Amino acid sequence: MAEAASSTIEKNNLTLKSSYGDEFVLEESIAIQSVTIKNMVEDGCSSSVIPLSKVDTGTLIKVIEYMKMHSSTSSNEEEIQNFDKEFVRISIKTILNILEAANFLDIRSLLDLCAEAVANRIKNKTPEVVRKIFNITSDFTPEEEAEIRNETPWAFEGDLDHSLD
Amino acid sequence: MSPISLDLVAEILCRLPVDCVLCCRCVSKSWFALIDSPEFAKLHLKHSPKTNSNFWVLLRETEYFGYKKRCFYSLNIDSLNSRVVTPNELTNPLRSSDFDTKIIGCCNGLLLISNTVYEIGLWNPSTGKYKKLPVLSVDREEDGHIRFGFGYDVVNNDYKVVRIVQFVGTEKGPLCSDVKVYSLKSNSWKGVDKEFPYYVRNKEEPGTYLNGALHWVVSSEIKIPLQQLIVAFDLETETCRIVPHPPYTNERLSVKLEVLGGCLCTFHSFWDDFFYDEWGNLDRGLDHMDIWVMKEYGVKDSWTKIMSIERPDKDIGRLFSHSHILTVERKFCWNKIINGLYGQVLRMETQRSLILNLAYYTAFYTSIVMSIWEAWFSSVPVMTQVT
Repeated sequence: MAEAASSTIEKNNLTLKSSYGDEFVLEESIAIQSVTIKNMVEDGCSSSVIPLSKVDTGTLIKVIEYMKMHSSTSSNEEEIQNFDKEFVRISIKTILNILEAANFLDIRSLLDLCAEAVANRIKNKTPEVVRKIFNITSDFTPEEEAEIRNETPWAFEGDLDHSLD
Repeated sequence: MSPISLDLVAEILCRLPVDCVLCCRCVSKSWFALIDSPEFAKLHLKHSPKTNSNFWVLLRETEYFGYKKRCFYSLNIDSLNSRVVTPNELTNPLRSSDFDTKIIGCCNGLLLISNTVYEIGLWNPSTGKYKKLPVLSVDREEDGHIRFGFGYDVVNNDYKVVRIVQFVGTEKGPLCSDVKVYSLKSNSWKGVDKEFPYYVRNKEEPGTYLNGALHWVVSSEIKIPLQQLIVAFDLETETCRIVPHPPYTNERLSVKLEVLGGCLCTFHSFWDDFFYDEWGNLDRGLDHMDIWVMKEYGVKDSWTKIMSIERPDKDIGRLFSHSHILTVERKFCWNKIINGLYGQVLRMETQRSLILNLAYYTAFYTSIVMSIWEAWFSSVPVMTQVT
């Protein structure tokens, strides 16, 4: 009887609002994979719209896609693995955006997935390329940089990858 | 887009192989400071078991090879499965024309190396960093047997070297030990008050590090046949205790300690009688070898025999029974190592073209990972801020 009763209860929905002002309605059970959202729900903030000022619309769409897949009871482990593999087949910049969103929303598995994906993509890249990817300007003088390279010359030998993606 | 936070950079970089991390040190000053911080070293160490890329076999060239280059080589664990392996030559910081450099301890990718008992140092082969330990004299060196061990004191977040000098049959009694502990944090040696009433059997064997303690095969008295007890020297409390050993059934047995899959493990070699070989040298063969694992640390009944090799090949015998294989630290690779190495040695019989003849090297298994540089290199060049 208890089962029948629970299945008739209307599912709680939450409204997430991106930094661009776009709103997305999502089942609470799915959204609370984010520890940040879960805490907000527990603090009673779920009745209104949850503003995610640090997450843009494109990124939020991807995050929701991820959370839906990972809370789905119908998909098996292999399907989820394949999904994850496909999920990060996007530009490094986009993965970095999702990584920051995962950090803000506190979704550990998504953070791990993105960090792993970025690590794989920057493996064997030259420091110049890494700077471009991360939008960093070097603050070393050429002499200082040469000194660092001299400390571990073998790390700068071999076939380093100059491509941006 | 503003640059992402350093916490997230750390999350990414800790998943990279050491070489790539080193490469990223020159990206910017903040990345440099991040990578050289002890916190990052720990994070990277924590992630290393997940990435095969940081597991290496370290090989030391020995005199067997005919010429004494006294080099160290590293081999990626994965390459053990390939037919031809190409080792990378590493610069031995202690290289000398007079002495062979021995590895006398290994923990978290750091090695304790020595030329003589006075010339010892800590070396991170993956970063090339090296630190010479302060010289500690030995009283009455001619009488003493000297043993070393190296490990990590988890509680005090400190790397420690233990030196045991043992005197047998002196006026002080049948067995007397002088134990000194070096702390990396304080960069100094100090004596240990508590007694170490055991005789460490194997001269060549450095202490085996596991669970914050160094382990040796010891006897509590000097009486033939010597016992083969296992003693653990706790690096935090600097005291020792006996750990249960597996059942022994034969006296003609030598026991060697290892760590396999995070468990203490013993390699038992059962020897034949001595005989004179064709050159008139005294020799003896191996009847069989067993490998036991203590699945639950400290629990006698958890000792389980996992492998037995009948009449092993002499090269395998040498690799397994002398103090030349060490410290397989991670669960996922031990299987591979036993199978891989065994396979490698067997293949060597038929594959003379193998670049590397494993039997003539001493092999040390280690997870070569980033170590805590700053903790022990106050002289690491610090970049000055450009104002």
